[in-house]
Amino acid sequence: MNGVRRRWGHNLGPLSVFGLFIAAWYGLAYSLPRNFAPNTNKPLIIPPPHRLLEDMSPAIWDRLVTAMLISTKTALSGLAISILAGVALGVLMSRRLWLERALWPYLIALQVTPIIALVPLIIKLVGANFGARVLVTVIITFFPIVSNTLFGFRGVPKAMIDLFAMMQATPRQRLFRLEFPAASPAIFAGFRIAAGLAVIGAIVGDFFFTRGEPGLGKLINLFFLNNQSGPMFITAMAASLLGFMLFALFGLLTTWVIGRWYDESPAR
Amino acid sequence: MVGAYVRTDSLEVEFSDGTVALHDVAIALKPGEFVSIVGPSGCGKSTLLRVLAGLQEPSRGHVDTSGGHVSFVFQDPTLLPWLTAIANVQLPLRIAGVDVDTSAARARDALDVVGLRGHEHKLPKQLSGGMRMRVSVARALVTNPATFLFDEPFAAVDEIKREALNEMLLNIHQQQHFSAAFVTHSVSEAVFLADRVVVLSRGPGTIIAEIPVSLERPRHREQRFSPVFIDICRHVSEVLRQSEEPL
Repeated sequence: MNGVRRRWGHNLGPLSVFGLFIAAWYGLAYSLPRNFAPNTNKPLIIPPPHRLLEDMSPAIWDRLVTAMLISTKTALSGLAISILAGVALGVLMSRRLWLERALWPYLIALQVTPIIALVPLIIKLVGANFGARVLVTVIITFFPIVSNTLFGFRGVPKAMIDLFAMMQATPRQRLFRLEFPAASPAIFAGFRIAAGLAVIGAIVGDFFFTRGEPGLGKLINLFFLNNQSGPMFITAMAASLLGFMLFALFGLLTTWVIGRWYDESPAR
Repeated sequence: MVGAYVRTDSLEVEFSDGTVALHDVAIALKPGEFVSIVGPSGCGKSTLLRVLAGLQEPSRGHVDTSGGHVSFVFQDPTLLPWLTAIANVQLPLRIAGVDVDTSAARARDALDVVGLRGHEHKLPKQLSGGMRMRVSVARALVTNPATFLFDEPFAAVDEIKREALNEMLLNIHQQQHFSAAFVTHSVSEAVFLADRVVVLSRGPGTIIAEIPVSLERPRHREQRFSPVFIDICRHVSEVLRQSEEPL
């Protein structure tokens, strides 16, 4: 009885917020002026939820699936480069204070510069192709990985470093038996943040760099230009779904690698 | 195992910010001798131990030892949270290149000695504070150290558990005869464990008294209530009180 009540209490919040969200969606769809075409009654800006799938023909579904695969490839390629280079740089910076002091301002600059400001440069340097879209993903995901790796390595307790010194561990033993495992909760937190950002990078890239086979971003733009608001919404949702999936994937990976010993929930 | 001798000439430690932590401290451990070090907070007790361990270079003087392995037991258990109890104890051996099976067998023996048989495969988070400290002692023990350095290892456990850990340590010392330097804030712990109590002045630390402990070994808990024990504790406390600032 108590369990049932607790379960209800647990789900009540999310369910009521979802209800409010759907209600607001309907409210907006029917209160917006000129949201429906006068003759055909076709939704032009925001389709109400029950009419979302109206325009989704098999051909459009096909294009959506293809675009999603391409965006996944872009996001994962960028993420892989960021993880390899970011972790390596984070480790190097944790070793040499001068390197951290020298590189930190540039990392911040990379993080705060709007991508759109770099678009012309990227087009000149790599072209408006797949490489450019991956590069945008790398730029967006690099910082959280470097900073979390650095933070994790800096946070290794002093006493444990002394312990390894007493055991006369080699630098390599210290790196793999102490520092990487000790830093892994922070590093994986960085991966999760980066995984969510990677999809943003891939889709933003689609808008600016349209050569080759662009992914979901290009498709969203196309549906927008064709006044196909239903497919446009569905494609945007597919982009969120992709972000969710990557975030969840890295969440599972975290649990799998460090969940046995690391308890993420704060002490109560 | 025979304990190592450890000797220093006059040690001086000055930190880069100009603080002098130790001034003219010369200390010697005879093989198998157990020495407790007491002194007010900030007197350089831990620094002295770190110098003996080689974790801190003295600004002047040097440490001379007859060799053998040196083990250090830290104030916190410093167990690696991702390793089980037995893997934590194996660690010093694995680092030294001992193979998995041999190191596991020796780690199991060391865990037996500290009374943790049956807890080998638990993670640190599944153990109590006292048990974690026992694992930490087992990890220090597993290399058969000739010299054992303790930096207030039992400061965080309650009185009764601390007494049990003291008795455990005395038993191990009785069997293995390592030389030991034991830093503590507790006068009764210092006296109960040691052959000699070294009292440091407040910082910069210098040795102001070395008080021999004439209690028979093997020791047992009843000795804590004997007149001899109480007299020695009183003596140590008096010297310690002189070294403190007036309140």
